[in-house]
Amino acid sequence: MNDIDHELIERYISGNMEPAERALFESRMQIEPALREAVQDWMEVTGSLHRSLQPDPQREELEKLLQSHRHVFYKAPAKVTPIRRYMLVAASAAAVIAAVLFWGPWQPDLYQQYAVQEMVSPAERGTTTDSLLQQAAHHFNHRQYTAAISLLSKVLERDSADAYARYYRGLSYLENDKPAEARPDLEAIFNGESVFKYESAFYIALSYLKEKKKDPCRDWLMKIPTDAQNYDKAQNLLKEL
Amino acid sequence: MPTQIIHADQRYVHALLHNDAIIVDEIYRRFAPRVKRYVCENNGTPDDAADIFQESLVDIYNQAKYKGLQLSCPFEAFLFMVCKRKWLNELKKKGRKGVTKDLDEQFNVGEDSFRDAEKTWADNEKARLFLAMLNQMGERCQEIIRLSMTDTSQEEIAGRLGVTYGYLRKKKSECMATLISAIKDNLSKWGLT
Repeated sequence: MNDIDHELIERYISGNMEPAERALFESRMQIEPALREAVQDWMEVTGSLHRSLQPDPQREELEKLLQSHRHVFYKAPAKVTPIRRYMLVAASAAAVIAAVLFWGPWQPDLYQQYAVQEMVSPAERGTTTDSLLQQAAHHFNHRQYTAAISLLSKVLERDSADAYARYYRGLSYLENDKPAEARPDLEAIFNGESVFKYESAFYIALSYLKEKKKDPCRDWLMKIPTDAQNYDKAQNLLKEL
Repeated sequence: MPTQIIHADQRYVHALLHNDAIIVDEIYRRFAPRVKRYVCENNGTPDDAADIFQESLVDIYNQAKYKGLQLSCPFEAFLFMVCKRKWLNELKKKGRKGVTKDLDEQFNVGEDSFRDAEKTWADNEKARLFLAMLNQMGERCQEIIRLSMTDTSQEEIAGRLGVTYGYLRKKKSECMATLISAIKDNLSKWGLT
């Protein structure tokens, strides 16, 4: 295989050959196994890279979903002593970090670092509630929180037990710079048993962080148990505090 | 390809394709413990097991989405075969001691299913090798190959890179030839043949 062959293969695979040239190339492939093999390799690599490099939003969503189940692999009976020991180490490390941060004007805004992500649109079942939630998700994801709040309130008027709507209304208040109004919604979720329970604790903590009240912020972060999905995130923020 | 009877567990594959949180939760609850045990009893950690499990599920997703994978055996057996294949290869790559404990004798699957699982692993491992080799190439080659893999036309790519169409084609074929030769040199190191 020489450079000229490589260029021919490239043109053959990209479909940049005149019919006559193509026919000639194909007849060469019939009698030259090395050329045939090279074309096959080339096609395999091109096809595979094409699939890998094309964005696949669905696959990215799946990876996020799988990542959120990782904790299943770390489940072990909670032991008190090692945790205490860990806390001591963490506390002394935190003292060092705090001292550094005290002098460090480069510290980025902590709230922004941990702020709310996106509102995941609910699965569509075609009900009125769903269409309200879809619209709310759209506004939320475009940072139009006032509009999102009013739609989510409508959902809650129809069904005050809708944890999904309540959770995102809390987050909308929070992002809309109304931390005090965010808390009743988020606390209600925390007191319930929905999947958003510990996420709510985290965002209540953030609501206090927003008001620069570090003590209640810490208290709420401590409510997040080791087996919660956001435990690591909470611990990271605790350290940064 | 012979027509196979699709196993009812195809629903799990369907769930991966459609991001079904409830069924994914079920997959972790039901099937993770066995994989964890297998990896941990064979020189691995829970972290390794979590990686292997997650990657295998994405491999199955890819195989179903792009290669039309259809299960002809229970999902658990299939997933376990992919995980096992992946872990054996990881051990080999890291030069760690081989597997001593085998847990899958209880899975009695047909040859077709075994071949499908092997292919699921191999196709995805190859894709990882191809990407890894691409990432090791010079900047210019990477740029040309990456752009060629999008739907951008050759003329547009040439314009964007500020080169002539003829030069682009020549350079692209050189880059591809180098990439393919690097891939071939590394196939056996990656446990692929």
